[in-house]
Amino acid sequence: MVIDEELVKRCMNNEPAAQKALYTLLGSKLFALCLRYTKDRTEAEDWLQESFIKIYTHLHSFKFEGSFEGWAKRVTVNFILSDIRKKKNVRFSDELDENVLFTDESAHSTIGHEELIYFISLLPEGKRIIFNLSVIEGYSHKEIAEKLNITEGTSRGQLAKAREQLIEIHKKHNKINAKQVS
Amino acid sequence: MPNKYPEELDQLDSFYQDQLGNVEVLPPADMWDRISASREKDRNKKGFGFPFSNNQKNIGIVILLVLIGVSSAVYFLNNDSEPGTKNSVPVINTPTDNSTAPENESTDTEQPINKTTKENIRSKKTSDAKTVEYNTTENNSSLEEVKTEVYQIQPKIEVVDIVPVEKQEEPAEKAPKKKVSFKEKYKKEYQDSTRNLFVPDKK
Repeated sequence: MVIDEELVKRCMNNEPAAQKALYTLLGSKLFALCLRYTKDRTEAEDWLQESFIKIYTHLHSFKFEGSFEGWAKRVTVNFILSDIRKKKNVRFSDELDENVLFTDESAHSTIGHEELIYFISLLPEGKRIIFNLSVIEGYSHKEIAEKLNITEGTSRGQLAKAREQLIEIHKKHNKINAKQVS
Repeated sequence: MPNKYPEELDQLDSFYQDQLGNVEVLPPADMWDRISASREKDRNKKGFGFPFSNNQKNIGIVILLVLIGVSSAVYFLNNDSEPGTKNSVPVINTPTDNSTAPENESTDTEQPINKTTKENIRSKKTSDAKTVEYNTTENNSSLEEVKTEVYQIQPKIEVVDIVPVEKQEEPAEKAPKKKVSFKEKYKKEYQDSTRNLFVPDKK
C-alpha cells in the first residue's frame, strides 16, 4: 500500500479510517527513526505518539510537493530535536558508554538492524544526533548547525569523531563475534 | 546482510545508509489507541477552550486596545470642548473682617471664578485681597488649560477655603443674562423671607 494523495486528503478531512491507514503505513518507519535518537525505548514511543499527533494536526501545511513520507520524517525529526532541546542541553562529550558496550547481549553472530541502532545509541548524545542527521537523514552541516544552534565546524568535528567511535565499536564486536564462532 | 561490520571509514556512511535507510521497527500494539486517545483529548480541550488561534487572539487584543484608546480620547476631547459641562470650578471664599456676620452678609464674599478669557479673569481680580492668574486659551477653546494659579493672601485674611462647587451650565449661544450680584440676590431673598415675620396681628 502506498501513501497517495487521496489518502492524505482523506486524512485532512479527519477521516479516522484514513488516519489509521496512514499510521499503519508510516508507524514502523517512524518508530525506527525515533529509536536511533535515544537509548530509551519508552522515550522513543512517546516521540512516535507525539509525532503522529503533530503530523495529523499540521497536515494542511503539506503542499503535495515531494513525498509524504519525507515530509513526515522531517516533522518527526524536528519534534525530536525540539523535545531534546526542551529537556536538556545536548552535550558533545567524547566518552562512550563502556559499561554496556561489551555485554553478551550486544554480541551477535550476524548483523541486524536493531544491533546497528544499538551501536548508534552507544555514541554520546551530541555525536549520535549529528551522525543521524548527517549520514542517515542527509542534512547538510549548515542545516545541522542551524537546527542545533552550533557552528558548522562543530558539526563536522563531531561527525568525524562519531565515525571513528563507530569504527572502534565495529572492530571490537568483530573480534567478539570471531571468538564466538571459533 | 554482511557478517562483518565495516572497519574502514570510507565504507561506514554507505553501510549505515543502506542498512538503516528504510528500516522498520514495529511499534507497540497499543500505539494507535494511545494516539487516537490523545487526539480525542486534544479535541475535547479545544472544544471547551477559546476557539481562536493565537494570531486571531493577538489581532483581537490589538483591536480592543485601539477601540479603548479611541473611545477614551473622544470622551475626554468632548468634555474639554464644552466648558459648561465641567463639574466643578474653584470658588475662593475669602471671609472679611466681620466673618461672624449673619448669613446674608457672609455671602458677599463668595465669588465663583469662571474659567474664561484672560480679560474676564483679570476683571475678577481683587487687587488687594488676592491675585489670581489664569493662562487660558482665547475664546474658550477645547484645549483650555490652566497653567498657573497663584494666590497671594493678605495677612488680614484668616481663612481661605477653596471649595469645589458645581458650575452652573450655561448654554454657550444664549443671550447674556443680566448680571445680578450675589449681594443683591440674597438681600432680596432675605427681605422676602423676613417680611412676614413682622406683620402685626390683624386682631
